[in-house]
Amino acid sequence: MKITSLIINNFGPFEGTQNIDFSISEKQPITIIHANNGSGKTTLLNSFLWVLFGGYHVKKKEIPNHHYVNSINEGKELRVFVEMKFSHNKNKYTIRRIAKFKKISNIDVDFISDNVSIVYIDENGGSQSPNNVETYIDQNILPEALKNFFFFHGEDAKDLTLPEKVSSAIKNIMGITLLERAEKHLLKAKNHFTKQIDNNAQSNLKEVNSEIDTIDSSISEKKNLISNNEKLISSNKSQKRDIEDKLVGNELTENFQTLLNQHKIEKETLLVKCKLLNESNRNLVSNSSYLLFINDAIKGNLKILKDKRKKGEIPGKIRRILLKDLIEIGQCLCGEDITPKMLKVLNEKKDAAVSQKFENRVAELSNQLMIMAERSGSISINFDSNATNILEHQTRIDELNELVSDLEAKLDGDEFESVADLRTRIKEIEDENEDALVKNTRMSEEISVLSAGILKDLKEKRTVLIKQDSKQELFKIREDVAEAASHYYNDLLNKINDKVRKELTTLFSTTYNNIMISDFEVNINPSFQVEIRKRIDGRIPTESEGQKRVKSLSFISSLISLAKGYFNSNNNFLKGGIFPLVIDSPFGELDPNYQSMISKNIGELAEQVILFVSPSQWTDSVRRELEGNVGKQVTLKYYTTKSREEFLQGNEELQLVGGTEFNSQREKSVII
Amino acid sequence: MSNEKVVKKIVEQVFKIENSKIHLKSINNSLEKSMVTDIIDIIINNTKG
Repeated sequence: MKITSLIINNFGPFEGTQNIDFSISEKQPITIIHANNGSGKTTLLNSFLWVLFGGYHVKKKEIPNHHYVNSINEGKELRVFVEMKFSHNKNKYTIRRIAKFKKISNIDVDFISDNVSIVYIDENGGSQSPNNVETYIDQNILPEALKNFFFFHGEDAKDLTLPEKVSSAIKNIMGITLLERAEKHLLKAKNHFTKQIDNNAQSNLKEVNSEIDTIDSSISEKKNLISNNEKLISSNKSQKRDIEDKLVGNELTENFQTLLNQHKIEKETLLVKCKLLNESNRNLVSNSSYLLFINDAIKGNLKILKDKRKKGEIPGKIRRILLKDLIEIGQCLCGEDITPKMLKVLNEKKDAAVSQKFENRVAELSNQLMIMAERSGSISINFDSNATNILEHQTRIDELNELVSDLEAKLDGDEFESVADLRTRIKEIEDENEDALVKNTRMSEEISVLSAGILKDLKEKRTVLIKQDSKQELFKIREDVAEAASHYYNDLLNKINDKVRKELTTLFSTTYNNIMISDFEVNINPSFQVEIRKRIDGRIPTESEGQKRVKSLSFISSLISLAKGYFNSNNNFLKGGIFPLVIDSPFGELDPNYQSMISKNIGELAEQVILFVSPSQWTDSVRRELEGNVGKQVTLKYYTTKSREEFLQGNEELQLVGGTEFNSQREKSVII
Repeated sequence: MSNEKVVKKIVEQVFKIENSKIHLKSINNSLEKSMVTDIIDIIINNTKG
């Protein structure tokens, strides 16, 4: 399917009849629709789906263009339509869906009906018009179940690789549903013949049938339980992966938290130490600071005392005894006699000499001064040491404050679940899975024992009893062939599912690694879960939004590629098809790196790619990567009543990037 | 005809029935009954005494 053009008539914001052409070039398969938010992108995307499949994305009465509604008289009928032209399998199609409304007030309409028609010209120029259009589209053009794989908003892409979506896509795109239905219907046919045998059975055969039914029911119940357990195991594995991803992040967070706590404790300890040191210094100051201030005085006094000793002025005792001895001898030290005048002087000097008590006091003072001097020195040292320690602690506290602030910023906003809790959850999941596996193994063994033992015996007995009646024997043959045919389809289903899954995995892996420029091991497992591992160490990487988007686009691309490969092939069961890719906002809020990676490869993803981009997404790098593959560019233009007049007069300059001019028209308010 | 050949023939004819309805997203009860009846007829026709 390649979409050639779309005609929109009074549909949503698009007033009147407007036409848009798309690139169908093989070399330049991309069409870019430039559009600001609110200029009709979503309506345009939905118009593709509406014309093909019907279904309303908004209230029906919101469909007709307001300007158009306003121009119609009350009570009159309104008609809006979308027409799509496309080529598919050598035919050229025109599909048109018309919706009718009735205007019931100035601004309100009632929905009446809609209908769709399709016409195609085949390769010989013959014209065909299938009756049941929706069935025809679903069967021949694009299965409705797959529409969201090919027409979607970029933000929704990540959900397209969920196991149930993958399974549904594979089944629908490849026509595997046929095999499932065939198996199911053949089993119903088999049951019909089983019932016939039972209805015509004698009592002994009825009894055997009843026993077989009981055992079959038991086996069937066990198989259901096994299947449910397998689903549980698969879902648990996926849940476990999510928790493990979270665990990696939370381990880091927990490390940060541990570090943060350590820093906080160290900071508190240092603050306490600083407080104690400050207190110690305060005590030193309040109790002994005078010593610091009189330190010089003490030293001065000590010096004086020392000098006096040096001069012999102290101790005074020596001098007094000397004077007394001289007076008693009556001679001077030089040997001359002491004159009365000299005696008088000597007596005066002797009486003036310091007393023993004074001498003692001086000695005591000297000692005290010595002690004080020592203490003064020690106080000074302690004070300096405390001050140095406080400074060091303060520097470290400042460092810690910065570290704490950084860590708190890193942890800010994280919804934190403790690593221990996460590990407990993983353990619970592992235990549950182990339990389910044990139960499944046990039930499988029980099924084997029942099937190979009592059930086999009963069936043999049943066969013998049936053979006794030729009519019953025929029913038995029919029952057997129905069962054999259902087994055939079951085997085929398993084989084809496996084959498709493996082929899809190969294509998926190539596309994903091409876009990511990396070497990941990509796998779609038997439960249809998409698994991506680093080839180098087998680890499952934590995926960013960008990687998830690349994963989804790669998956869709591989589906398109696989379906194309099987289209028109001789394979009866894999019917395939050719599909376009229509994406609104393919880049979303992705970072520039992913925008470039996707832009570079998106042209390779499908035979036709239609992208809706807003100006903010049309960056230089996106333009540079895409432009070689772009065959057509179109701009949607939004305008109000006022600017519309200007627009119609040709006064407003359209900022067209190139290609076809295309205008979306919307009134901000209804004109009355 | 051996059972194997009969089964093969039935498989082919069932395929035609299923393939004619492959476009349908789901099959309602009445259509399913009708399809199963057709399959039963195929089996009967291929296993007549």
